[in-house]
Amino acid sequence: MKGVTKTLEVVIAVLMVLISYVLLYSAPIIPPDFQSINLQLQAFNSLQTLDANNELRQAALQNDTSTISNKLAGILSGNVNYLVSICTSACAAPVFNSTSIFSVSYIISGDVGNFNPRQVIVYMWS
Amino acid sequence: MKGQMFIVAALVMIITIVGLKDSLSLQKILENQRHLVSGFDSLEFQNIRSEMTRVVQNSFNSTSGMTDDLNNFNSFVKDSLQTKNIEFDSFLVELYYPVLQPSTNAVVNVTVLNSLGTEMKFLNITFNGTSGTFALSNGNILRTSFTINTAVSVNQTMNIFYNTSASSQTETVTVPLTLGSSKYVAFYDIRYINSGGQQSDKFTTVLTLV
Repeated sequence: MKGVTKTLEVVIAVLMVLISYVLLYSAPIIPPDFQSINLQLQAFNSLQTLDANNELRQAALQNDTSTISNKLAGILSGNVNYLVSICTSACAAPVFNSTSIFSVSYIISGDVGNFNPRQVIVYMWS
Repeated sequence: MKGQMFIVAALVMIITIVGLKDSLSLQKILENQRHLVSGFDSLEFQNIRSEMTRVVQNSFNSTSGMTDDLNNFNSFVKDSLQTKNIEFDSFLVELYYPVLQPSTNAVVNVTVLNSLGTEMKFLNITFNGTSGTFALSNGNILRTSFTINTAVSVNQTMNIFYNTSASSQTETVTVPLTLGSSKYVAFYDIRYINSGGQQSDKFTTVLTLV
């Protein structure tokens, strides 16, 4: 009888450990998405750097997206697809095939003697 | 070994498993992510803040242009951010005075923009011992003026008190009255609000026109 009780206690102990383990680790751990925020930070900093070097404002005022794209090519990571868009009011989002798209927008007010607010938007996808 | 010891050993193991789970700390990772996102919001906010001061500097050759451009830029930012579900609220006070001569009356033109998303039921502006009381709806602009007369260059304080259905605020703007000079002073109270929190700032810029 003593042996049976001891066995039962061992079984209970093992079950306690197993149930605890399953309860704690059964929910899948979904790692947060750092890639998008890192890319957004990188793109925004790139636009800010271009602006600080006087390489963004004039191009944006002339709606010259290709110049901005070319300049970004030298700064952004090579494995990221991106599209530059410039708009003067509410911007319509372009249609993409990818489901993982993120964007950053950089606002400029114009230039000396030329009030002309614009948004430079960089859409990125992988 | 007594049978109960197995239960005790199991409890110790469970505590260890829980401890391991906590040390993996998904919470900390998520917190880091939130910190990064908040840093990104801060960058966007700083972009808007610096462009708001730039608007005034870029339009320095036209004082009416400065005020109109700043108000229009404020609307542009508000509309642009709205499409991204970001609320942008602001309260702007802009004032301009022409070249001051000693002991001579001069008119200070004041423009107030309420873009706080709520009506200012009571707005009181006190400057150089004179007060004006107004009401200002959301999205509207108030234009008023004050007369100044000073024998020496001095810093004058403009006190602005307003209340809305949500709060009461007092703002103090220091206006440098400089003889032989013309200045444009802008006070900004800007707030950027999204699901991650709020970024806000209050600041004043002074431009010497002449």
